[in-house]
Amino acid sequence: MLLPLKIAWRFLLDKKLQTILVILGIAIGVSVQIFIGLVSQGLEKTLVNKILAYNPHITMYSKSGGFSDWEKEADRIRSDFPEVEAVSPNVNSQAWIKLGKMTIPILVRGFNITDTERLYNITAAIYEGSSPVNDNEILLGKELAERLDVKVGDEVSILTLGRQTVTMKIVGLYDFGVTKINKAWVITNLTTAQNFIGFGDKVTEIELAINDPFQADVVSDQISSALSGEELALSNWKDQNQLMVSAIAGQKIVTLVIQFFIMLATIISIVNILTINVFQKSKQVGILKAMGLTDFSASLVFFYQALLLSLVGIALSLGFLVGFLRGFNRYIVTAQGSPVVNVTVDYRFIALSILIFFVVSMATAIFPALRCIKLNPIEVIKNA
Amino acid sequence: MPNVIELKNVNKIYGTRVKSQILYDINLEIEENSINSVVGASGSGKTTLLNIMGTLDRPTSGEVIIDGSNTKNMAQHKLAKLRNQAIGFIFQFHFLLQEFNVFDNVLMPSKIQRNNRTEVKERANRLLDMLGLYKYRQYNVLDLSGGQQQRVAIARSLINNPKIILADEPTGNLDLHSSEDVYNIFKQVNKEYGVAFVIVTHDKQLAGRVIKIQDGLLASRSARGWEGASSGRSPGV
Repeated sequence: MLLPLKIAWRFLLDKKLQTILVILGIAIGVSVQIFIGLVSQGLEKTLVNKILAYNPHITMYSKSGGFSDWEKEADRIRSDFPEVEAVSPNVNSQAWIKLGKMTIPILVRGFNITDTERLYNITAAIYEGSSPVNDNEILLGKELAERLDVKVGDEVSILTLGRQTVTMKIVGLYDFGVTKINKAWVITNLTTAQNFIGFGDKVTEIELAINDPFQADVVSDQISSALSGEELALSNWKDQNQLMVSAIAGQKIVTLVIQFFIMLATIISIVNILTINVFQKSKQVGILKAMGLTDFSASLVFFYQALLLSLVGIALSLGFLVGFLRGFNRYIVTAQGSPVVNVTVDYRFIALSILIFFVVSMATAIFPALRCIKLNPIEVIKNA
Repeated sequence: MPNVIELKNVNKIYGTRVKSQILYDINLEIEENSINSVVGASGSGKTTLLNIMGTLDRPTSGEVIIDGSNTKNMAQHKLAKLRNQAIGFIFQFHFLLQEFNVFDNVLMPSKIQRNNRTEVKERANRLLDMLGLYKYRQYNVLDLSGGQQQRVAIARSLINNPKIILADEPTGNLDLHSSEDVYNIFKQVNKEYGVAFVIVTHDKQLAGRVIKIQDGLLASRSARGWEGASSGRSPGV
């Protein structure tokens, strides 16, 4: 097997420019293909993260206004649906917070703070003070606290929808990094929120986070049928953001099509060059066959050429990819200097792309190899 | 003396719709250690005969026996092996591989045989020395003269210690001096290594048997002069 490899190597060296060009073609093709795949994944992640940052994947609510047996439902979901990562019952109510003579609209949100860890991770967002443990303790967002000019330990008055004023103590300040939320959410524990709206021990919603956000509609349907017959309704983020979801799906398909054609063009270039090489080297192949090289060994020469070209091209493509990613993160940036799309290096995707390319390119080497098998030494000798 | 090549009733017809017969009922034996020149006009079938002897081409009918093995129903890979071990080829155009140096070119048939032993390398060196090419062993074949290239091809044809060397107009592309050189080498190799030679030529005949072919028919020189050897048809000489 070593002789065909040696011959393949010498054939490639003999046509240096041709070899360099095809290796460059492979390296560019493979690296660009992987790069746009990674950018597409990054774009999808960035968009989804932006939509889902402070949105539950699935929201369950009662058609009658509130759940009384929410603890039972929450436990059922936790035990029956392993894909659900966070179950967070909560109580929400519109309210106003008083600022001098002004009142600012807010949303009072009552949670079991520990339940929100996989959903909003409130604990991590607290930059001053601590979580509300006792009744009538609240967390204020950064911008709201700045506007009200209050600090941890201060008390504020909150006006309910029923025009009652409740005094609450600020025990902490949070920052989700989203001004709109920081200005609106006043976070408290479940009991305080329930008392605030006179809801007894009911909750208004159960919010869920699942392991694969793109399965939100499927899981939502499963939960819906499992809990059927009750006064429950479910909504999921995909239904609420249909335009964005189809935009993401659209860009994924377009990216796949582009990736497919880049790969196709790259593979055609390999097959092309190998087929040309069979013609260029037909004299040599004919002589080798006359000297006793079997058809199989002669065809191996072209498989080895495909192997060498692919391997060197792939190695170079990884170098190009690093360059593309660095360039992208450095030059394609927002006004603040952060990358427009957060591209992460997905090794599994890279390995899979390379594997597919490699397998297909080796498989297509069969065409030049077949051509080589058909080559008759007599023709070569006659046409010398 | 035993035969290294036997042709029995060999016919060769080319074409399917328009058939043209190149060889007619050829019966021919090549003895071990013999020198045979195949002569005849252009288009008489010399090269076809040589290609059939070398198993590069198959006869339309008849049998080709190389070194005792009948090649009639031999699979392609077995034929390749037989060619590699029993036959050495020398062509009009040296057909060396320009991608390899002189030494690698000489070793090529042994590498096809997967023989990488030291002895074969020593043999290559001895052959190159005998042919006056030792100092060029690391040269690219394109850097040698026509005569030198043909000598490399001779060394290559001898590397696997074959029983037969088939040479198709080996001097057709060489000047007179180089041609003399090549024929002298053939005689020397025949003497030293006991290799049988079948040489297609249209210029010079070496001492030894002369096989004349005309219009696809064979004639041998005997004491009575030229006479048809393999069919009832007159060779027309």
